[in-house]
Amino acid sequence: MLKSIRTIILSMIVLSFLFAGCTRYANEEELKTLDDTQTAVKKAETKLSDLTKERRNLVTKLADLQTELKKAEEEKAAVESRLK
Amino acid sequence: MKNTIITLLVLTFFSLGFSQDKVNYEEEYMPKLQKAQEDLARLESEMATANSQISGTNDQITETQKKIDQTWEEIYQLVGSDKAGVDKFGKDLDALDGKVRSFGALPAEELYKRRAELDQFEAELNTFRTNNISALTEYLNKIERIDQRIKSVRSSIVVPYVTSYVVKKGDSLWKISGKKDIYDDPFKWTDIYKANKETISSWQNKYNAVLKEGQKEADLIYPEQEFTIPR
Repeated sequence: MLKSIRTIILSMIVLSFLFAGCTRYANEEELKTLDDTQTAVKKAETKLSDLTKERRNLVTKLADLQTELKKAEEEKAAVESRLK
Repeated sequence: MKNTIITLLVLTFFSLGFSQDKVNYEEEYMPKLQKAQEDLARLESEMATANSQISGTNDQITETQKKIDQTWEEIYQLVGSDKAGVDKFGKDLDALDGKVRSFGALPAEELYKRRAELDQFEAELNTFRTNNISALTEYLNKIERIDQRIKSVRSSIVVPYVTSYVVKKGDSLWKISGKKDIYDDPFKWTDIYKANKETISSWQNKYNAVLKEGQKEADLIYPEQEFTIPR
C-alpha cells in the first residue's frame, strides 16, 4: 500500500517537472517587443485622437468660410443691383 | 526516501510558483502581441485616412478663402475702390456718426443755439451717399442709422422755455411777444402786458414825474425793464 502511494507521488512529481519543462515562456526580447508594440498602440491612439480633433476644427473652419463666401456672393449681387 | 520525496515536492512547488510569473508564450504572449499588432495596424490605417482627410479639408479651406478674397475684390471693383478706400470710407462715416452722437448729447439750450450744425451733418451724410461705396450693405445701413439719428436730434430740439425777458432798445410788447423763444405770436402781447402791468406803470410814473404836462406817456416800455413771461 505504502509502495503504491510512493509510486503515485513520484509519478506526479515527474509529470509536473515534465509539464513545467515542456511549456514555452516568452523571453526578454519577446516581452520587449510586446511592450514596444503596446506603447506604439497607445501613442497611435493619442495621435489619432489629436488628428480627429484637428479635422473637426478644420471642418468647422471650412463651414464658416463657406458661409462667409455665400455672404460675399450675396453682397456682390446686392451691390450690383444697387448700382444699376 | 521520505526526505527525498519531501525535497522533490518542495522543488516542484517552487518550480510551479516561478513558472506562474512568466508569460506563457502560446496562451498569453502570442494573443497579446497579435492583438497589439492588429490594433496598431488599424490605428495606422485610420491615421492615414485622417491625415488624408485633413489634407483635403485644408485644400478646400485654401480654395474657399481664395474665392472669398476674389469675390471681395470684385465688389471693390464694382464700387470703384479698393480695400483701403473702403476702410477709409468706413472710418470717415464712423467719425461723422461720432460727431452726431456727441451733438445729440448737448444740453437743450446748446442744441437750440447750434441747430444749424445739423444741416452740415446732413450735407456731409449726403456726400457719403453719393459715393458708390455706400452701396455696400454695411455702409448703407450705417448711413441710414446716422440719418435716423440726425432726424431724432432735430426733433428733440425745442425752443428754450423763457420765463423772463429784459427789454432792449427798440423793443415793443408786440415784438417781444412775436419772438420765437417767447410766444412766436405777436398777438399774445396782452399776456405780457397783463402780467407786467405794475412794472410798466411804476416805470411810467417814474418817467412821467420828470416830464412836463403834455409830454407824459402811458404804457410805454423802457430798456432794462425785466418782464415776466407767463406760461
